[in-house]
Amino acid sequence: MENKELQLNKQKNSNLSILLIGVNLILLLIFANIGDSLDDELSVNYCYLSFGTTVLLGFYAFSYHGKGYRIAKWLFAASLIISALLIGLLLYSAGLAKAFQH
Amino acid sequence: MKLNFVNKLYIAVTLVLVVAIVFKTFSYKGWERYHYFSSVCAPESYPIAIHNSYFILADGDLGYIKDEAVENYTSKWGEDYYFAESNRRERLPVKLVLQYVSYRDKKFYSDTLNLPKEKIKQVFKSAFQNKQVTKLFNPSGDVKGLTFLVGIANDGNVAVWLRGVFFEKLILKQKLSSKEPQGDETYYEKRLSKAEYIEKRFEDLPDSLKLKLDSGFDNKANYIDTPTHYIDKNKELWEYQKKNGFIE
Repeated sequence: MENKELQLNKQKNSNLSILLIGVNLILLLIFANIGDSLDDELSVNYCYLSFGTTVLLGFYAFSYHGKGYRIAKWLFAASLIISALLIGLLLYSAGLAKAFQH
Repeated sequence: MKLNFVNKLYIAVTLVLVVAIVFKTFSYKGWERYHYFSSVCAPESYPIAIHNSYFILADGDLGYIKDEAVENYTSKWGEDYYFAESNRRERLPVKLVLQYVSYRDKKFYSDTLNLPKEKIKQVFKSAFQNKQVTKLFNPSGDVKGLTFLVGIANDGNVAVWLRGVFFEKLILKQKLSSKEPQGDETYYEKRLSKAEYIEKRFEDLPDSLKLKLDSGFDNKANYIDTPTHYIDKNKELWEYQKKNGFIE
């Protein structure tokens, strides 16, 4: 009986977490888009968004264990790869910019 | 339901983001930002070499003023640079920084002028209400705004106009007193004496023009009180554009 209650509590907390991840991502998007961004700044905004997703999903993936929550780990892995690629791209373009000296 | 740790963390993040959004919104002040373009002009017969010309904006940023025509000695009194563009909305200028040397009187001028903030704000508001705003080029599609024109006349006289469609308003008229150049005001590639600096900066001024100016051409001119005829000159164009729906 107590176990069931615990399960239910976990389920409710998980639903709330998913809602909060959504809310936080929307807020992050609003924050990044205040002001007139030029094209290059816009692409940096998308990087922030991707890092934000990774961190928020990471917390979720490592807090909830069990069969029903496994998909979160997969999503986290996917966002981790995307973020890593973006970091790689940023470092690469920074390297290119650095090489461009007059 | 008892909140677990991760939800408390998410709620903390939400609060931080809300505070950050409020802070960023109020420091950006989007409602006090406008598209505008700024350029500088000088009479043909009174060439100048500009060391510095820029606006200080309400948020402390620097506002760029296009001075290409003056640098080429092709500028005319009351004529703005032909390609007006605006990449982003900016806060309105509160100060004008000017440092230049005049070819005719060989004097250096350097000053920071206070602009009438409230007046500029009112002009922008009323220009939008009365559809007097002009089109400015923007990479993601033309935008509407006004143009600033800084006029540098002879004898240290300076005027600033705001312009739109069928609209021109003088917002500042001031006389600067000449000063001895200080610091990097005579720096051009290297530190120069006053005479060397003037010679270097006006190197590209055509000799024929130099001869003409040195012989006293247009000597008694008083450009600061010369009307610009901006509206008269553009009337026909605007009427055509309005008729064909290119502008409102």
